[in-house]
Amino acid sequence: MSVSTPAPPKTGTTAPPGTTVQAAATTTPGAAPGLLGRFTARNTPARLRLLLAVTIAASLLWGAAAAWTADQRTSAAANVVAGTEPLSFDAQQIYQSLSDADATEAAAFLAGTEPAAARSQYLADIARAETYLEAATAAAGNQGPGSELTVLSTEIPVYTGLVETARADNQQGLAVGAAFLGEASYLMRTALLPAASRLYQQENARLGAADQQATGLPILAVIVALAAGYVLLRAQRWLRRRTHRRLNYGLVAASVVGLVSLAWLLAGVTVARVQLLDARDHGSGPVQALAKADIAALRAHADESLTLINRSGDDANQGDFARVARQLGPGPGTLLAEAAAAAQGSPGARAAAAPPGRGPGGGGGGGGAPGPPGPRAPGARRRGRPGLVCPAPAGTRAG
Amino acid sequence: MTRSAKSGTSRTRPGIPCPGGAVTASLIAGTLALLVTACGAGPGPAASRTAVPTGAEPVPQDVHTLPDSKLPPGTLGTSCVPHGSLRPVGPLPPPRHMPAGSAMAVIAKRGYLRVGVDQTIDLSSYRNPLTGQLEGFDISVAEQIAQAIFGKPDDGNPNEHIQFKAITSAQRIPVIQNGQVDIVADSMTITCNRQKKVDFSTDYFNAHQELLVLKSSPVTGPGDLHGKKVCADAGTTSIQQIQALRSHPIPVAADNWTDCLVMLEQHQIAAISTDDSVLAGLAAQDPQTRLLGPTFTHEQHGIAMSQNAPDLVRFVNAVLERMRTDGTWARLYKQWFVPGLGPTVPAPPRPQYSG
Repeated sequence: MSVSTPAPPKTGTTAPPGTTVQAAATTTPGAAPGLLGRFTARNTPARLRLLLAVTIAASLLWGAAAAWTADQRTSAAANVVAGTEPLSFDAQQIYQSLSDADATEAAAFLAGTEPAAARSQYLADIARAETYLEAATAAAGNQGPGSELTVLSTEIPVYTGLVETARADNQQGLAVGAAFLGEASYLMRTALLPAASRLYQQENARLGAADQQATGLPILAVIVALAAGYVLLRAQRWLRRRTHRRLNYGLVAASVVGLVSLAWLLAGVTVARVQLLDARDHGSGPVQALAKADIAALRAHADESLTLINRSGDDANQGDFARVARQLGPGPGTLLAEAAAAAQGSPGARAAAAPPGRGPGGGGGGGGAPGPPGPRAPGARRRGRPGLVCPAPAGTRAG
Repeated sequence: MTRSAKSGTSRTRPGIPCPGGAVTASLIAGTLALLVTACGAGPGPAASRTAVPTGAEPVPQDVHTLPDSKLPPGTLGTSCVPHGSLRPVGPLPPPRHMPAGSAMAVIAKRGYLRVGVDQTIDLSSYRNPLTGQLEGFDISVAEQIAQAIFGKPDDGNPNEHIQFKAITSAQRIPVIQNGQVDIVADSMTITCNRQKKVDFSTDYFNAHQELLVLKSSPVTGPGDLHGKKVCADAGTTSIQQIQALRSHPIPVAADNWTDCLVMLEQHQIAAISTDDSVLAGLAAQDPQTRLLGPTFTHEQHGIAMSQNAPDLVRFVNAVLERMRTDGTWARLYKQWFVPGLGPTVPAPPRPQYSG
């Protein structure tokens, strides 16, 4: 570190201009006995004390800024990985499971006697929805009546109760069974799915904000680092002029440590940013796009079944089917086109480009649309989710 | 690496490596500062007592509460007596030999008769969940008409030459007006108002509007319904009768009769009111319900057709005439309604012609 432009040394706001330093230092020996005086007196020991205080303060400030930045990044990244991302994933899974349950049950009624496969798929859907709901509630805490989580946890049992009543009637050959199913499906579409959808949107917005926080530039830390470096530099120049030492080892060491820590911080932040952005673009982004398309397909499927079962004359479901089918695509500006664009270059792209359908197995439970491969989220392992077929959310590679 | 407990979250964070390893370096410069920043956040305040939501039964789709009718009580339907139907001309033509240029010839050429039906009225016309087939008195009548055009089905399937279109009560007139079906056989009461829009066959079933309540209900008749919710299908004469009742019940209009039964079982309504034939079908699905008299109206059911096909109306009337005389009508009544409406098989309704 060398200084090319000579400038009058300044040690602080209380220091007089450089031209008077010499005189001041010699004319007031041993003056100013108070604590404040020990720093403000116009002699060299006081100047050195002041210098010491200012450089220590600058270093502490830098340390604090670096610590704060690192801590904030860590918690934001951890938030993405362990908090908001799984919550967003949970919400998406709740929506998909519920809408698959709705579509499955409607199709099962259409078949007359309920096929065993449809029954087990419905049960798996409900179990999955409940499991993710429990996980989301544990993560988000009780948010009181009227919140999406409360609506879901109070209305899912009502829904399943209606479905079981419908099945009991249906198995006795009673036409009222279809009406119970219609009421259940109406509850699903007017209360449960909207709540799950709002939950998903909220969590997605929160994920976006946490992503932003974790991937933004550490401007404050860089400013503080530059200011601290400037103070250290000026202190060394002043010492070199006042004393015969060319180098003060303590200050040089402090400068080097400061530089290294800045480089370390920047490198760490950059790596984390790259990883998080990569995870978002190749992980959660395509999964979200495919999930949207999957949900639209399930909705259209349920519309179709309900139209055939009970509301035949009722144009509501038929109109809804046409609307959802238009949204789904394929074609420019549709959900499938969006999913294909988001999944570009990953195995999911093929699935998105394929025509809508539930595959030859008729399955598609929860995660009808396959996404890019990847490790499961840490949360997924921890909670032992049943029947998890979706890929891991973003952030799993951030660490 | 630092971890801070955020208020409100109980989940522990997984240990991901700290992206800014710089913390270690900055410790040298500011241990104190680090301690200050790292220990800032404490646990939040304890959550307030949870408010508990009250559960409620959901409501079926498209259910509406209607206002009282503005008509003076008891006057509904009495201001006008529906005119008679068109008289059959000569004997029925043999099956597969429909007169050229007639509406029946068009149907024969098409290969199937299009029939608008309800699929939720047990006994009259409903889809049997076990077989997936439509069954009931109205369906049997439609089969008789199809047989008169196409002859006995080759493979024994009575529905071979019928295309059923499932409709709601409110859609019965529109589907005829826009030509989606040839006939509607759906417990449809012949009224003056409807005769302005469609043509009816002669009366093929006499029904009586009654009440269906839960066995535990204190209601004993229409007079006890003040302020209570009473359900019927939207677009039926039944809902109009409820609106015009002297006791001023709250009329609730649903899409399907079974939606009314769902709400009755869930205690959302006090009674269902419509034709006894429909109510018998609902009562057959729930032994906890009972039919309540006294009868407050008589409803003559007719098969509705387009006003542009008088030859089809005459043809259908001829088929009904044959059913009355050859015992088919009594056989079908016995098959579908004797279990629910009592052992007596009444005489077939007398046809009334005016043209």
